[in-house]
Amino acid sequence: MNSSTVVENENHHATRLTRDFERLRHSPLFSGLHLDVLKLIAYLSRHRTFQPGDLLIESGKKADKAFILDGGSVEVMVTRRGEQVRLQRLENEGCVGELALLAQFDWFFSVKALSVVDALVIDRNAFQKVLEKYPAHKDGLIERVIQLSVGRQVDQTSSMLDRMLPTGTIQSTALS
Amino acid sequence: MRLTERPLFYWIKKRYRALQVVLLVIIVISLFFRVYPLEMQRKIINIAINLKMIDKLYLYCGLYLGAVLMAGIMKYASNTLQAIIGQKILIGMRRDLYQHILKLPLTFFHKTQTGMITSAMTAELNAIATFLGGALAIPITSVLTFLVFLGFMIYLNPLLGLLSMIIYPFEFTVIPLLQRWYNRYNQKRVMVTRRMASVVNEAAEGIHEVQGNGSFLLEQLKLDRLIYRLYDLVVRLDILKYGIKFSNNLFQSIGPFLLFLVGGYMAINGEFTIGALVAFLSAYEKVYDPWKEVILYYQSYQDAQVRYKQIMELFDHQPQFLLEAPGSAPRSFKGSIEAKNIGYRINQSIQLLDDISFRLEAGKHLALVGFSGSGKSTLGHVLSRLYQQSSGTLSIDGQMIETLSQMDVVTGISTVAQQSFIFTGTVRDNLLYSTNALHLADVTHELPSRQEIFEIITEVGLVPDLIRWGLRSTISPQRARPMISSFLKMREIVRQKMGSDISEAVEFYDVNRFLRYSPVAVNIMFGTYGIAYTTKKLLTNETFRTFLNDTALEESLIELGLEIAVATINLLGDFNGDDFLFQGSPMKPGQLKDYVKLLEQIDAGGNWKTLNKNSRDRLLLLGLKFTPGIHKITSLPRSLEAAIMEARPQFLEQVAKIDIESCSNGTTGALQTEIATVDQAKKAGPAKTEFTPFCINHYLYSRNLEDNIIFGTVIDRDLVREKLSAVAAEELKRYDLLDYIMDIGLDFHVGSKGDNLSGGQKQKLALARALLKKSPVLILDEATASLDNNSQTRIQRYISTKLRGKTTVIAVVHRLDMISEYDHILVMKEGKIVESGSYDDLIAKKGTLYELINGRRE
Ligand SMILES: Nc1ncnc2c1ncn2[C@@H]1O[C@H](COP(=O)(O)OP(=O)(O)OP(=O)(O)O)[C@@H](O)[C@H]1O
Ligand SMILES: [Mg+2]
Repeated sequence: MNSSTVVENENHHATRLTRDFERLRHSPLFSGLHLDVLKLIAYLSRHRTFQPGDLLIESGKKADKAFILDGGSVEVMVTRRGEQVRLQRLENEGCVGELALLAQFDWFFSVKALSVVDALVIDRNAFQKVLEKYPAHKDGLIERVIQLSVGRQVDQTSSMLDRMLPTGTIQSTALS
Repeated sequence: MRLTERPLFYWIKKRYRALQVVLLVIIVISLFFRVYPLEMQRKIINIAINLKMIDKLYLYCGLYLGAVLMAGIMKYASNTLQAIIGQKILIGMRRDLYQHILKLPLTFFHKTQTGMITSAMTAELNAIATFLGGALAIPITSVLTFLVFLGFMIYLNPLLGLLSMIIYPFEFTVIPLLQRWYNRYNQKRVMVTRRMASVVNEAAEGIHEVQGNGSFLLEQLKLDRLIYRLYDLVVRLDILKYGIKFSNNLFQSIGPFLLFLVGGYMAINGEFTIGALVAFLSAYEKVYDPWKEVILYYQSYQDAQVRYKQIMELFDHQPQFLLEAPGSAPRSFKGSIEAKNIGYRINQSIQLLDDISFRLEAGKHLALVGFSGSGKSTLGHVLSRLYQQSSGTLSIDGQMIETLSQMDVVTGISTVAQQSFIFTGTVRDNLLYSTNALHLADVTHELPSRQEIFEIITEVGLVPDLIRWGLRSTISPQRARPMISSFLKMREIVRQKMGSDISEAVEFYDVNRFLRYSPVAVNIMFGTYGIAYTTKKLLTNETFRTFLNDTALEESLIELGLEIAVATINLLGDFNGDDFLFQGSPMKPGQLKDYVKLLEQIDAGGNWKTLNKNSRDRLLLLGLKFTPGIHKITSLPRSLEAAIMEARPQFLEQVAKIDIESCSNGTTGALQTEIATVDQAKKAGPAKTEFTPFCINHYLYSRNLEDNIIFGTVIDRDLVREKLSAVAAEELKRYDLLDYIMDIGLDFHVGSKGDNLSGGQKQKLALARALLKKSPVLILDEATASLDNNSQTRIQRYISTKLRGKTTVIAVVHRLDMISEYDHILVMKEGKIVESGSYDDLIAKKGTLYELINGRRE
């Protein structure tokens, strides 16, 4: 194990802190980050378990935390004209809600657990605290969050288009 | 005589005369003991020493000592008595003055800043008290003493006696001159101090604005001017004060010079014995004492006079109305109101109300509407006689309002102001504020019953709030005891009904499970310790310490504590003092430095056994406070968790003396014995009641009602409260607990000026307070403006149904969709009535009201 920085006098049992640290280190959002920063984020994050059908994120509620998934799968949906439309399905090591770390807004989509989901929760206050304590890493972190979010948009759009184009729900402009 | 016209000596002459005479007698007697030693001095030298009579020497010395001792004791007694008299007089003065202030017209309070009033009532009056006690006795005795010593000196030698008086005329002229100067500055000082008090007071009251605007320097500037001004004045005052002292000393030292010169000459020529000269010099010194007292008295008299005058000037206004009509109970009114051409002016020129006339039958409802600043609140104040109209007449049941006593008006009219004021105290204190006042004044004989209170509470919609406050209260064992079995039943119900709903949000107490959201200490005891539990206190408990030692838990916990300390310092050492970051560690931010020092004492091998007991206890404390579910800084080793779970039943059986079987699946039988043992144990000694286990059939006295019902550690407070409030109301009713809980809720502390309440809650409380008074006339100034729509509508419905025909209502209404429920509407603009009539008429007329409702005229 490579995380002797976390607990100096390494113990016989792997602490939660060490495990979460490892998990964050491998998540797309935080990989490659300075270890001190990562350590603090791991320390400030919480565990939550969701049962199948539970909502991690509920459309219309205040957005104040992001979820780093660790096992299980979730789906991202929006409600439109009273109907629920699935935008994306995330497995295992994705993360959702990362924009909530940066700004206050109300959720415009919902995220539902499809299986038992284990997640690390980071709330905005905690994240902002980390930015405040490590100002040198601030820009990099913000950029990472935005990049991830943009990537998500691209994924969602293409997954939706993939489902719609063959059914002929919409037509590509090239055809008309 | 009007209170503010009384001279300072009025208070002294009229009060505690007997005590003052006692004081005088003590001082006069003590005079004798002060002169007597002088006579002894003379005798010791002239008789005992001169004639070499040893026995006389002993006798005179003994008498001398006795007299000096007596003089000292009497001085002590007179000082104490003087202070007591001063304070006693002050009590009367302060009470009378406060009553006077409370009755002054509102206009006085508009002009005067509260800081000034506070400063005058507190510090300034205190400064007078020291003077008051001796105001009569001191001058009398000082002058007497002075004369006695003077007489003694003249008796010794008339020439020298008179000679030593030469200096006094000088002092009589110089000192008052300096003092007058001093008084002028002193007056200014009082003013500046008061202004300082107002500035500080205002900043404290408006602290939201100060901090919200970051106006720290702005406020500082306001104070700075006064601070430097005060410095300037105090320095001048000191220069004068010491000037007086200096001149006094100077004159006094000229005295002995003359005496030595003349007395020495006479002694050499044999016209004067040495003994007499010594006695004379002593007497001369003694004369200085009363003189000093006279000077001090003079100074403190002048000071008190200056302060007193300024206090009385500040409050020199006449209360406008008689408190009670002599010899008769307050009138009772039906509540018809007539206003004829009422005008209200301030400063003779600014016309706030002009030509207001209307007539309202008893029991009818009148709505006041109009633009902001049109004078609605002002009219409300005139109608409730808080302001007195400058012209026109106002009558209630045909009685001119000026002819009524304050008590008549108070019983006849109740008001809810636009900015409801809530007093520091409990909800109950505030609800009963009006009725308690009337009760104290002997106007009403009984206070509202609990049922009446709850009715009104229900009408204004405070019930859910009251339940919430009640559930969050921790109540005394005496109060809890009669209801315990009902609570325990609710505990069962909640578990059955909500158990699965809130299982994620609550960690229920279960003797067979490790409680991740409770500290290690609580996990060991599976219960709480004492009424106000702290881990530190637990550490001092012998029984607990012995138990930790016997089970070898202590070492493991110290190791855990050490691990926590190391991890916390490693991770958070650089972020000293940040509360937010320390949430994941049992260490407090302020303790970081201490623990760093503590760790420095441990050698590289990490052997904590070299530490002293105190340091080890500090590590143990961290271990005991560690709460695995919250403190992420480290994890609880599985082996330690197992050890704790193994120790728990031992603790329960051996220390808390609990049968685990009946604890986990309790029967009411077991409950009964528990209550009995608590009572018995109380008598037997504290040891047994200290540990209260988490048994399903035990009420936890150290926890609030909510915790007792939920019986577990709440992880997600919001979710639980949401679910609980739905179940609680109906279940509480079922177990007849609703009234009981609401009654407890009534004792909720509203904080300073109601700061613990929301704006809406304050307004509901103010409304309930006015309604409880049940007076025939009710004046409401936007009394529901800070409430949500539903509450507004409900209260309006209550007013227009339950109060119709019974209570005359005059309401400033801002929600125009509600005014159709009123019998009559006055539309105001710039202090005048521009429209008056029923709702339908005014709408049909398409005038100002129509315009207000629909935005613009067609
Ligand atoms: N003590 C005072 N000294 C000078 N002017 C005052 C005083 N009290 C009130 N006023 C003025 O009298 C006018 C009427 O005030 P009032 O509070 O009665 O208005 P209102 O109709 O109740 O307004 P709102 O709807 O905003 O409560 C305002 O222009 C106000 O500036
Ligand atoms: Mg007003």
